[in-house]
Amino acid sequence: MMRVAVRGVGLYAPGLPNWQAAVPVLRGEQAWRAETTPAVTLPLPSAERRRTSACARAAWAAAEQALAQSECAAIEVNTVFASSGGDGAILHQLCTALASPERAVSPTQFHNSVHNAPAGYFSIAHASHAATTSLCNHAAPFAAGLLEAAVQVSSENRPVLLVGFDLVAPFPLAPLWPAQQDFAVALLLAPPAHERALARWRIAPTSDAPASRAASENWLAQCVRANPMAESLHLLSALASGMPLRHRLPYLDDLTLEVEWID
Amino acid sequence: MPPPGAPITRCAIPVKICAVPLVPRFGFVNPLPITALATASPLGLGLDATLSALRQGQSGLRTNDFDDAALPTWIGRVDDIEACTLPSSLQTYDCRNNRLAHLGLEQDGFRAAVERARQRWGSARIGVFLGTTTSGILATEQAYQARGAAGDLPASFNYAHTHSLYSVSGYVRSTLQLGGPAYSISTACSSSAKVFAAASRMIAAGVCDAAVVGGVDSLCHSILYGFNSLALLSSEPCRPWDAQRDGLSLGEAAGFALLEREADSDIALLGYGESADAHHMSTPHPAGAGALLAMQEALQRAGLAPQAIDYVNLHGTASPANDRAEDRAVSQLFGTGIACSSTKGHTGHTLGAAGITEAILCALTLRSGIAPATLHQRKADPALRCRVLTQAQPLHPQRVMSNSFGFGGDNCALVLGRTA
Repeated sequence: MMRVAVRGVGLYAPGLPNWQAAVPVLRGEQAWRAETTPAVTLPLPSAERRRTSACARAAWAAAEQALAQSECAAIEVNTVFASSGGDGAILHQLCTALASPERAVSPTQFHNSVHNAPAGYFSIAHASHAATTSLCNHAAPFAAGLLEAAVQVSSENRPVLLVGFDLVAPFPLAPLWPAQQDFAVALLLAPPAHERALARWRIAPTSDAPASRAASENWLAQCVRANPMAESLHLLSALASGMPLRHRLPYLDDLTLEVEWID
Repeated sequence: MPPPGAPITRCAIPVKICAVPLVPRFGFVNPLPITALATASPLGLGLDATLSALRQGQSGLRTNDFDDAALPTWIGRVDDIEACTLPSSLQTYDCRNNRLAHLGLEQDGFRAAVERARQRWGSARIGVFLGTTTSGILATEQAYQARGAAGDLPASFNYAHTHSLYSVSGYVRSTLQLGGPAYSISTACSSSAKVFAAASRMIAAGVCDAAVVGGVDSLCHSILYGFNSLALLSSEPCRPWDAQRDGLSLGEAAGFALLEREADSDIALLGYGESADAHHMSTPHPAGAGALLAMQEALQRAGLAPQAIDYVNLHGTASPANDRAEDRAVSQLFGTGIACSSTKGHTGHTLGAAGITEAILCALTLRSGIAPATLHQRKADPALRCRVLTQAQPLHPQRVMSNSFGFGGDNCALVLGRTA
């Protein structure tokens, strides 16, 4: 069981272009509309910036909001980048090139194909040497990332930026891809003694069943069905409305992750 | 020197290294017993075959004969993958990468050791954290080659269970009947070194009592043609620290380690360090800045001064840039007298399996006393300063470091030691 302070939130998803704009939607004060997200650029030299992938840009957009809100310096923050399976667009380009007679893979495609590319661009843009990891869990990337981030806060006693990203993949991968809608989210988690916090959570894996999927067809349920990373919206809704929360996130067949708002 | 429990400060470079052992910091189980190991690599199946190949200075490399990849390079291939079959209940996971994982798990009594741990701790208390860079991407490559008239992928293609980066962890968790947390780490070539850090934290935080860690990466076209696009493949067996080194030989491997909170074991994890280069996506920081930070942090966690380390297993890919940067970082931290070797000439660069494979080679070095050679060197690079062993030799180290540095500038160093 770990205790963490939530010090910053970021969102970058259709109809939820950033945390501030998402708050009234998450509170139910404003309807959600599947609007496209604004373009994002990373503060990198132009040659490097041109090479960034859509995944790296989406992850960056969410990460920057959470970081700014926390008032932590990027160089003091470990990062955990979580995703279902990484970058489907790059994978499609790579496999299409390899299926052609020339098999001409471009160097940029190849170096963007490493799963930790978004983390690499983030550390370069912030000139941060802080430890960073990039992990995957096909069906429950948010729970896997949240557990890792909470464990790092607890065992390393330092702030950790969790960045979750999953973007749609092009045809013919699309029907097999877990993300049918883009979604990136970030949480800046710190040791619970931190003075400034949006909330403090107790996080623990449990064998109890996950929260039942809402039978309703509301927009949040649709978002969760369209992207496993959007499971995070249950926690973000509670943060937006200031409501107490006890929620079990689906993780593995026989394991869930319980998040409880402790103050 | 920081007070006990103080957070590690990431200092500007160069950093003065404390001459006296530091107090291990809060939250790290030190030493963390390693109670079982298993390996399948181009050097052979199992620890005995691997040690025998190391003693004799054998290379597992051959001229490239992978599928129809017509690239003039050398590869480290595991012969037995094609003949391997997965248990019938787990056929849905069938692909080259999971077959290699299966082959690895069959070695060295590993399954029996995990079963003992399961009885002791309970399955829900044992995590699975595995490194991979490409998982079963070969299955997706083959599906793209078999696209139908409308461009669709074959109906038989199962992305989630074969190629998904999590697939290998899901397979291992299922076949070992474990119920703890699980994910795959994919940070390029440091992936399966970082799993030791991940498991160590999970145990320190009380989420797990034990963990199966490791890494599996298998040969595929993406990697062969990808490294070729960066002009990083050697046309000869790779030659780390050689004056004319001209790139990598790629390889495939599976390796596993069982870590337990408390247990009798002859080998333990003493420390880990992780850092980012923050320099470039596919070339290392020229002065090895990130590499140095990772090594320093591993020593700090171990509570050891550099002089306490007897041997370094280098990342040593034989790319001109890696060896130059790593040489600077290692010689800055340890001086130029410490025995070092790169084992990439034995195994090839097994990418997401390199960290675990080299941790296992380090464990064999600790057990046997024999430090492995750096193979294929014709003329040592006069610009490099590390004392790189070119013959396997008795060294009888007590504590060793293993380096793993990945694309995206993701670095990890491990300290392993004998417990008696």
